[in-house]
Amino acid sequence: MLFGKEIRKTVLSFTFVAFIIALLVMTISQDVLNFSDEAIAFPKQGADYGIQQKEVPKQIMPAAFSSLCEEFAANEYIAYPIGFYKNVKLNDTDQEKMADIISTLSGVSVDDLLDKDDEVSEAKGDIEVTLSDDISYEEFKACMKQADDLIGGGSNYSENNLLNYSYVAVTYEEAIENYNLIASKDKFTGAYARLFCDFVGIILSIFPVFIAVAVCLKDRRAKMNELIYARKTSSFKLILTRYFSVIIAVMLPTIILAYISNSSVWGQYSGMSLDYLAPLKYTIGWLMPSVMISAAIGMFFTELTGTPIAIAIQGLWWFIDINVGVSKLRGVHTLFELAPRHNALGNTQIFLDEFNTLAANRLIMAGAALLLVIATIIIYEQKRRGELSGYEKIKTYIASLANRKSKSAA
Amino acid sequence: MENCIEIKELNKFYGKKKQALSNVNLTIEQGMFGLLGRNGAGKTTLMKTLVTLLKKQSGSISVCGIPIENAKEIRKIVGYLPQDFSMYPTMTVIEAMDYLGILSGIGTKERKEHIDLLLKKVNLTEHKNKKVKALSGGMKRRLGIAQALLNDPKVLIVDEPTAGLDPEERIRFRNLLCDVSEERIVILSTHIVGDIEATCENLAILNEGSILYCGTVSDLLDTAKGKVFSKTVDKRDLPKLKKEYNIIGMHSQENKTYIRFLAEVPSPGAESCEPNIEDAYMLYLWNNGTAPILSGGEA
Ligand SMILES: Nc1ncnc2c1ncn2[C@@H]1O[C@H](COP(=O)(O)OP(=O)(O)OP(=O)(O)O)[C@@H](O)[C@H]1O
Ligand SMILES: [Mg+2]
Repeated sequence: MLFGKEIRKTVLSFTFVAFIIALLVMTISQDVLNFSDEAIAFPKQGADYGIQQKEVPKQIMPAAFSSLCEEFAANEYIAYPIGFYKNVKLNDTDQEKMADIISTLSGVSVDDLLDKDDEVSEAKGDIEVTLSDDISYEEFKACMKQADDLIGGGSNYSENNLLNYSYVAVTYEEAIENYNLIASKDKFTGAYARLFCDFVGIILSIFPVFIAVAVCLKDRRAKMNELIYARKTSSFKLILTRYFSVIIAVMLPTIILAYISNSSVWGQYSGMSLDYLAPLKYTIGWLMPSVMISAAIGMFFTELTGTPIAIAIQGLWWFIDINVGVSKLRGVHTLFELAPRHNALGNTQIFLDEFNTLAANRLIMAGAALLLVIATIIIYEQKRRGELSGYEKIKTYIASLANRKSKSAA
Repeated sequence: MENCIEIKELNKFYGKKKQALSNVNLTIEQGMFGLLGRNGAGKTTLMKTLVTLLKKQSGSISVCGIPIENAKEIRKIVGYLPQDFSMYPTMTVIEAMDYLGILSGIGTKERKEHIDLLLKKVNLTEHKNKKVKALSGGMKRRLGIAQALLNDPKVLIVDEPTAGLDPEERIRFRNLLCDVSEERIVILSTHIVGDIEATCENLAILNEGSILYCGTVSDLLDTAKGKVFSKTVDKRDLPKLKKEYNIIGMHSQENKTYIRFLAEVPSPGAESCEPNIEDAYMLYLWNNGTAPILSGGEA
């Protein structure tokens, strides 16, 4: 009963309509609502199977090294420390340490390297800086890590980015192996569901916070707080019902879209074994934890502060996460990521390799969300009983911070 | 025990310094009970404490035998109409009632019947499909009473329900309260003496967090007997008289002014008059050294 009412309240709101529009725009513009022209076929011999990133030391080492030398010569290092482009210029001591690294790798003395820095144009022809033959891949990687640390992380020499120096053509055998994995592990539908989640996760990591904040602010805006506080229903039931009505309101249209998207290819695999539950499994396993944490942050901070500050908090996390995510598009995962990426149709081996990290990440997000919801219930009950102390203190503290900020801005 | 509210040595502070209630002792029995006090007296604070929306610092309260700490049980038996409230503006009257009825834990069938009955009682049946935002102030207040009665409470607590209503609507509202006060405890707070006069048998006067008087209306009137006087004076003497007497009312005709004032002993040339509740209320405030200063506006 209460659940139906809360769902209705959630759905009949401006933020929810905005969410549905965003969801449609995202899925249509990114071509994940209709996959009918992206059938995965058994590879034909002699065709072009595309390229892939692969850890081939022979390719990586010279390419990365020469890139490092160039950046060193100009003292301009490109980096994406938290996903944002940054042009790093090292100070003299750090530049010297960098020279040390290059010296280790090439055998050219530090002095020569630094001289070269002074007279860029002439020196370039004089000293040949090449990677020594006796450097092992392990040693090389250790040096690259040092270089990356000097630059401040996220440089071209980070462990993840080194792979960018090594694109190789997919062989016929590999193409067949990929196909077989998609057919056996993904049962085709899984591959499409994954790509759908990849894009939709971006929306679902941010929109629930708006919806949850609106739900929590609604009572106070309508001056209805006290009417509700004085009623019999427990804080536990009320908050939990509200929380899950946000989750359901977001998940239902998502699941429907996931099936619309997925079913667009079912016809192309007649006679093969498909996993018709894949859209459901993926939306719940992959997307729902993002929805849960986003909605929980929304409710928690709104009940705690009585302000929409959660939007700023979640917005910041989301913005950083999406930018960091750009470097993990191929499907690598980290424990604390918000929106897992896997920007490819297939790539099943990476998915399988990374599955444990992904699963741990999703469990962490869902668990953290539930803890926040419990905290929200406690705060709500305290407010309801007029036990203001802790909550009131935090509120005045935030208000004073906001005051200070607006003063300094003026 | 079963059907009364007992408040003993109740203290409530806001923050460390502001004492909103001090040593309040009250026993409230079935029927209408008036809580009279001016702005800031602590009426809302006391009422919120009774409906478990505020925590007391010390003292004890039991509502129909249930200690106030047992918020869950208290919430089952009280209905509350806050001083300043509204409902989701885009919901219709009946939807809002239904939502609050669910939160009161009333079953579907019972809820439907009960809501129909209540809306009839508060004369809102023909407006039941109106949006809450389209209601007038008076209608909203009547809806407020209806929602407070949803769980058929043993104790109904209404905080200044008549403020801002026109005289006709106010009378209708008082009658409504009298209607529902049978077999219930109804506590009505107000700073309008007329509300109490028209409805209550018992009342308490609250001032700066303390109870100045608690008892029946007729006892209150008795205490003011022989202490209210009237006199017709020259208009020019008014400024002087204002310092001398504790004037609680005046009206002028041409250059004569009729004044009504409080005094412990009869004064020469003044007629003793029958006290009303307002006089008695003023007398209590005056005796307490907090009599309001009439700033000399001529009625
Ligand atoms: N949240 C609060 N924080 C601090 N002081 C408060 C708070 N609420 C009320 N007060 C103070 O407590 C005192 C009693 O307030 P209360 O609202 O109970 O008065 P009231 O009798 O209901 O007044 P009114 O007739 O204006 O509604 C007032 O002095 C008020 O300023
Ligand atoms: Mg009040």
